[in-house]
Amino acid sequence: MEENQNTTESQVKNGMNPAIPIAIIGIVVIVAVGIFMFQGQQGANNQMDATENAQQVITPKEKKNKKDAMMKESSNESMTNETETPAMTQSDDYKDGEYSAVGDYMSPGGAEEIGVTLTLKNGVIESAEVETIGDRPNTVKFQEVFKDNFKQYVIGKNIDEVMLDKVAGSSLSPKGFNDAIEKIKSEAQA
Amino acid sequence: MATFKFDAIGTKWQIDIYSDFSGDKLMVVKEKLLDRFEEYDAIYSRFKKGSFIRRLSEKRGKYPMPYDGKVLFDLYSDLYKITRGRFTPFIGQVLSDAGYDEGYSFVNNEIGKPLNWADALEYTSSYLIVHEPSLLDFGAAGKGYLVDIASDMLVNFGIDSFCVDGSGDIRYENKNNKFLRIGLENPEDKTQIIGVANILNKSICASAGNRRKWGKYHHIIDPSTLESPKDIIAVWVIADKTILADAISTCLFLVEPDLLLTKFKFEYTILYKDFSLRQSEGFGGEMFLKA
Repeated sequence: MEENQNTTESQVKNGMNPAIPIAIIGIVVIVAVGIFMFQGQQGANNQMDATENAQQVITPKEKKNKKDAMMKESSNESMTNETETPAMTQSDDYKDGEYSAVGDYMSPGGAEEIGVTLTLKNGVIESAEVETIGDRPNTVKFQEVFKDNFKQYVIGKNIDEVMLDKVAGSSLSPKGFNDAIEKIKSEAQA
Repeated sequence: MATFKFDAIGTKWQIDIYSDFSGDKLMVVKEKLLDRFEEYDAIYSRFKKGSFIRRLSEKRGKYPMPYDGKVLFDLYSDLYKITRGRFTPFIGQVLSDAGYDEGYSFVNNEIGKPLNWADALEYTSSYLIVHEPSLLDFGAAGKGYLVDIASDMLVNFGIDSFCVDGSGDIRYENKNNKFLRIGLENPEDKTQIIGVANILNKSICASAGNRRKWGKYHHIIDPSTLESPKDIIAVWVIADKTILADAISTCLFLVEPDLLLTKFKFEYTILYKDFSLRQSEGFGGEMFLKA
């Protein structure tokens, strides 16, 4: 018995068993990685939200294209009058709400910033606002001009490409009206 | 679903009935509607010989108020006051002089400012007194009012789900809570739409200067400039009554929405000639925004 104890003591005194430090380092590494991953997971979640937001701000039109594609598919099915009109659906991917971002740009006067706020509803930009940031006179002047002219523009889409029940435009004019206009046009050309 | 189409008050109509209704009963409904439309036209049309409106334009004096007239006159009176006369039934004489007369002569005569309401006409629920004869025009809200009248008739017949489409002025009711998708016609290209509105148990009216136009005018003339507005090319309004949506859609060519919102409840979309859009928050639907 004594001999064994002596042997153990002498082992410790004479030098570490190489297995032990490796084991210790291994445990430390495992624990460290664990902590890092845990924190990283949390950070990654935050990052994902931020990217999502950025995507929502930058590419709302992608979602619209998706929706339009969906419409096209279902329009093939519902060509007859018998089909029921679908209930209005809510876009799921982009939450309704306000999204703000500050853009920066270089001007001859130096670095500038401009604020933009978008309101999203049902996956569509409902309104957009521009905010002047900074106090250099030229900055204010040019940003104000930009703001005043910052409008939402629309484009026309072919009626056949969109699923519709009705079209609302100015009233169809009576035959008498159209005939009279045509008559005047031809008289003017004579 | 049953559908019937017909021409009335100078334009095309379509009525869709979603409720279950027997064929025989539908014939009765259709007949009653057509009779009512004819009666309405004979009163309010400035294009029909011998109409009530034409008689008012010929001689001063006291006249009985048509049984459905007060609603129309009251709305016009309210809007006349709030727009300080820019929205006025006395525009009839101006439109006629500009060429949009009962013969569609489209001869541009000299046009002058319309009469002042207080000087020309007064009314109660039972009569009108014409002090200065002048041609009235109720085109801005007359069709919308008729859409409401037709809708009320359908409801009285027990039809609770239907669509009355008076060519751009629409009333849609559906007990199954299904929305109606309505394309907003591009006034510069009739094969296109610039967006879609979704409505349920509401009225929507469209106004644009693209169809009824001649020379430098279209069917809306601004009394303050004696010109047709050129900056705004189309307006859509959603409201609880078609008479209101119709009237407001014309008003928005002439005055700011905020002015009208002080007294009336409605949603709007305004399309400008540069294809920029202005919309109330609650209009809903989807607009095809330029990337």
